[in-house]
Amino acid sequence: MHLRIILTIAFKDLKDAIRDGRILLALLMPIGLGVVYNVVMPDVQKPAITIAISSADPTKLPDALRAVSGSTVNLSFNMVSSAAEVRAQVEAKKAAVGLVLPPGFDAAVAAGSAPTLSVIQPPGTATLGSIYIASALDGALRSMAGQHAPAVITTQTAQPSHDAASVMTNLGARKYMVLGTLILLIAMIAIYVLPVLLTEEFEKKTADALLMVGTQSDVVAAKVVVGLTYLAVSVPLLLVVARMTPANVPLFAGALVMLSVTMIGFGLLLGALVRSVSQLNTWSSIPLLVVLMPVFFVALDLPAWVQTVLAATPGSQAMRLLVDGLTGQPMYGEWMLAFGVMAAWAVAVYAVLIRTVSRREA
Amino acid sequence: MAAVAELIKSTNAESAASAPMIAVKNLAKHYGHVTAVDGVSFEVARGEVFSLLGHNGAGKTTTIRMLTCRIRPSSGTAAVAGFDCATEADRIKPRINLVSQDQNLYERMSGRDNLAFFASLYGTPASRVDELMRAVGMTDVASRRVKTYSGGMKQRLLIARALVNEPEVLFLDEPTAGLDPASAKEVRTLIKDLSRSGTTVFLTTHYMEEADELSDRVAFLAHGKIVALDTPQELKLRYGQRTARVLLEDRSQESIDLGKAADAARMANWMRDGKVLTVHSQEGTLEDVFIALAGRAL
Repeated sequence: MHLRIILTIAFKDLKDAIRDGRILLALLMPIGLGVVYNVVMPDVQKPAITIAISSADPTKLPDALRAVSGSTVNLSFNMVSSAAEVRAQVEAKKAAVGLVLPPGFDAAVAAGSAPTLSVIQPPGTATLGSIYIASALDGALRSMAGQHAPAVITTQTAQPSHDAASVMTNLGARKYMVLGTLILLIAMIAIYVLPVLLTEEFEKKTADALLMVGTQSDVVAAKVVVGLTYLAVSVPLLLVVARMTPANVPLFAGALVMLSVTMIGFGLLLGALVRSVSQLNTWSSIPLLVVLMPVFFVALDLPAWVQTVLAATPGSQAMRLLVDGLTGQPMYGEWMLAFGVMAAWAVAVYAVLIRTVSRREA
Repeated sequence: MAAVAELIKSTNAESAASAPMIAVKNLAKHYGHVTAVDGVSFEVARGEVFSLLGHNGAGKTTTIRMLTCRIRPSSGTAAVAGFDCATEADRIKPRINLVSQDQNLYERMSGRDNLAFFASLYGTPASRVDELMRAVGMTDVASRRVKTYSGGMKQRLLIARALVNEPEVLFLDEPTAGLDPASAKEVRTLIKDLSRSGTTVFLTTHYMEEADELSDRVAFLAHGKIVALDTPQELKLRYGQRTARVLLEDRSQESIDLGKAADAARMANWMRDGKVLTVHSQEGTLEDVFIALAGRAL
């Protein structure tokens, strides 16, 4: 293979694609979908609790409450000047709960003189927010007093479930759909754009001119470079416009790379089998459906035998890894199996590709 | 068009003139049970215009594909510019180029961009692009997309593209197929210019007059085999009829065989009696030769 020739052909394709409406549409459509999901679907939000506080002196109580609460809730504090204002905010439901601190509260807590802290609850039935703050105060005050907690509490997550409710609760519909769109983007580039570029060279016989300079491997490698370039630009772009930040970056990136390698194999094989772009338009929908359909079934509660069939598809396994990578939780787990299934597909498809190309060259 | 020849003259003038530019020995190509080329052998000298003629499916394009290192021969050897096609493609490809019968240009790109792309592939200076556009008379339309070009313009651009790397051997596969007479004449003039500049030209064509006009030597290919190979003149003499058509004073026409003594005597009698108005020699054409060899016209 000849690197200079490969890069020259790839650069030509990248420039030429700007003039090709089909390719532009295939690239921009998934990114547009990501933007749409971003606009129309809200994210799953953490519970938010607003607390009204009056304190004559500066106090570290808000910081202590935040430290105790960790990342489970979003706490916000309205600092007001009097107990009456605290009551007014709670009555008006501008705050879930109110705290009235006497003068010299922090110093008194530190000295162990047990100052009085008034908690203003909303009228009627206590809200979850007011109950939460009331229960969190003890820990916060102990830390302000420099006391050690009576026990060390460790929190462990039970084996996560990947049923539909759990996935949607942890991930949210928006992120789930964006992940599906991410796989759509990879499939469109690998199974549509890449074979279009390859097939068009052979259908219009421009490949004959290229083969006067380079080899068939150079031409194919150039198309792979183009596909990888599109992926390298469009995948991060989609993640940015959809505000997606994976918690487990290596797992997330590994799943994307493995899926891309497998899909590019599918695309090259398709390009080697069809003779015209018209045939490609007809037949590319089949592998696209085979890859994409399982993606959207991953979070559904389906019969066991269907789950088994789905688990054998690269799209389904990629989606499982992406869900786990995005949430940072092993909701599906079995990562080695997932990578193994995708690798097995890649090996099989590249073996068929090499055999097909060798027979054609012979 | 003569400017094109000037563009490649300097390079080819430096090349050695002794060894054949193309040497083919027992070359064969089989596709399963189908034999496309069946053990052909020939040599093409440096600077020669060599034409390969034959029916569709006779094996012309397959031969060109093997000589341009795009497919491997099933057996036999082919060498271009002294290098083996099967094992030294990387040495051959910079020295050759091809004008194919398919107008295989990038239609969404401009003419200049097409040439610039291939100049980049060959590592040729960008300045050559404008020189070639000028040489084929396409400077005014260089920025237009190729899909707006006429067939003749595309063919001229294809020839310019084939000269980007200053080839020592230029393969032309049906270069005038589908062109109007004026465009076809332009292409033939260009081929003559190239030949004069020392470029070796390997031509396939369906047009016998074209082969006759351009070629130093012609090979007839039938069913993958070369059935005749010589200069057009020799082939016409060998396979054509040595006859003359005589118009007599009574307006009757007689055909005489120039090789028969009896016809010579008849002719002598008509001449003596003053009966001969005109005599037309009936020289054979390459088409006649081909019909004689292959049994049907191209």
